[in-house]
Amino acid sequence: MSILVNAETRVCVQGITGRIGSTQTEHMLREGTKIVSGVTPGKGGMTVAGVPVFDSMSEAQAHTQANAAVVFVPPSAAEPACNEAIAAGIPLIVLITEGVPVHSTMRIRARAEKVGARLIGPTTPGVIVPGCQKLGIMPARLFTPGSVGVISRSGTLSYEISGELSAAGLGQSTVVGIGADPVVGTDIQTLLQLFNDDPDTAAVILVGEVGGNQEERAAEFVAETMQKPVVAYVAGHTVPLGVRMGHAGAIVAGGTGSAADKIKTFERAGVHVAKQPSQVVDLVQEILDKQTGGSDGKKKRTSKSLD
Amino acid sequence: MRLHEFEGKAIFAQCDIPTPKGQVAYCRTEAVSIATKLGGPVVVKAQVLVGGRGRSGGILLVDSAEAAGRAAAEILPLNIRGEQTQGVLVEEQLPIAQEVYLGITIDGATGRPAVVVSAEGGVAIEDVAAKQPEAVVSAHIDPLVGLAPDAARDLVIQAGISSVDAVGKALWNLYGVFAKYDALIAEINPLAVLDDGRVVAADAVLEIDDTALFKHPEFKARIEAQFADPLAKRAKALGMTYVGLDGQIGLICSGAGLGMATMDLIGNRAQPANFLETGGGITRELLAEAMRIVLAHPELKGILINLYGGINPIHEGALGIADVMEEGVSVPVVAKALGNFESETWATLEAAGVTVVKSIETERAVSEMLNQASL
Repeated sequence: MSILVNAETRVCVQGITGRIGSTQTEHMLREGTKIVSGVTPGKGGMTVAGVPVFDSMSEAQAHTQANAAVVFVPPSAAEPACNEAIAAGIPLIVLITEGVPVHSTMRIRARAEKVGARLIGPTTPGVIVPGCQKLGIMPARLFTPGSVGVISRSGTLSYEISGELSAAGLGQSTVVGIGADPVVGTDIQTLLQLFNDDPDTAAVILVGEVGGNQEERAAEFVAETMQKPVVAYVAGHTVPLGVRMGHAGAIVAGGTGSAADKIKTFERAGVHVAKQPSQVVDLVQEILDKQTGGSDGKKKRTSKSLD
Repeated sequence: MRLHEFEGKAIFAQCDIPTPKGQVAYCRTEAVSIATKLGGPVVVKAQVLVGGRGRSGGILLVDSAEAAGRAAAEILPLNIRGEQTQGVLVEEQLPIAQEVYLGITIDGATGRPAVVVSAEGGVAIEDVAAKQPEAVVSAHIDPLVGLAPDAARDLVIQAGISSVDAVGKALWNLYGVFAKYDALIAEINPLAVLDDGRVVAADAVLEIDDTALFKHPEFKARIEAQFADPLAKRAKALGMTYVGLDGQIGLICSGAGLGMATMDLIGNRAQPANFLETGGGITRELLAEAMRIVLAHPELKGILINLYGGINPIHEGALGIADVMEEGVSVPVVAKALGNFESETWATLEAAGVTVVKSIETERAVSEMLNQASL
């Protein structure tokens, strides 16, 4: 099946009348996403691609009963928008917005934790269950249904690796971008647990990057709890010390958070580590072949290293 | 954005955290006149954003105004661990009885502020934590509630600090600064407990979350000043991140993770000339400016563009790349661009003379780029 999102998920898009919100609503609808409502204060009564727009989340809920929110509002409006969703009892909030102040994220996460709601993001491409529903901004054509779970700190690398999996005939059960900020709503090990419990996920790919200690904490979880094989790739081997590379998260401090440290920790925890993105697929293929006792009819890839 | 010590102290002073008397000087004469006004022995401190100033000769204790001038003349030209000194802070010397540590950071694991207190201040707190973990007290704070005055006092008591009232109040005020200024780090090391029981912040570390700067217009000039590299400044103006590097291959990528992965792959055979991440706001103008910024690198042997069309309208961005190609680009340009509107994007780029690699693998695009650049 999948994690977080399934065929029963009913979506409300917050910020639906904005330039990005309306375009992405159309893209999501094309992928079969059940968008039942949208919210933009002051734009109640409009429709966007046939979706009714309400002035507030509570009003939207009174009419359409969504059980997930996808948020496309400017950074300064992210906290009030998420607060509204939490207050309306929405159990899953996907905050796409990039550039949300970290203090706002801390407060949103604390509010969500109090009521047991799950926040994904901010700065996330969202969640996709290929062939079922897409709650986010990822280019859907790169994703195919299957049994590999993907957790990624980077949006674009989740596209690259999912696209390579698809090209190799390996579909994905669910692909989740956790978000690139120093504080995110849901961390890697929570998602690993969900994939561990999902009967239709056979293996999990973890896409990490330099900075922070999320990978290190995830490695601990893999060593202690995870029963399914995990393959990891970490970007940023060549990032100079102390330099900020785009994401607030992608900064290496002396000694900790470097790609080399993360890889060492993963290897100690029994995670299979790919040296470059295209090796991820080879490693997953090998593991799944072993599990199914050799060839399962999927086309075998030839190795294509750079040298 | 990391603030200088004197900027942090100005904020502390406004928020009721006592700071030493003093002022920043940018030349020897200024240092002499500040020291004369203060009277008595002073300390002259390099204003740089890196740690370990003292060990690099960036902090000098002197007895007279003339000596303060000489100290300033000695410190101002210093390059401390790669960073040019931006001025010197000339301050009164304090009759210190005890040095304690107060710090507030954000713990990514719990998503909450973490308050750290220790009676062992004045040295690197990581060293204290490693050698005497029992000397470091910490607590996670509910960001919806903040740090209550009683909770601040309790932490000070737990840390074994005797000046409970004064240090507790300073910690409570420091949390106020942390919350009000959207800080990623707010630290006083050391907070000096004086002979008479008063406390004074002898140092200030304050880093403000860049994404929250829209709430703090008072830092506008300061933000602009932090970009020493004019190319980085131009990129930032459009929401892009640019870091100049020493190699030959210019990079334009539509995500930080993808950008770093591409850098890593180039690193196998050559070196990137830059890191450039477009962010999620690609337009025709933005990618044209990205091209011009990357082209400014003197050693450039090629440009590699790696884009995904998810939130980004890459077909519009391709028009900007074509605009610059039309102006004449003397190095080979290779692009990989996948996702929404990829066929339109490819058509525009190919017509403009860009080599388009249609594989999903960044490895292929890197390989093509290095071959074309003969590296």
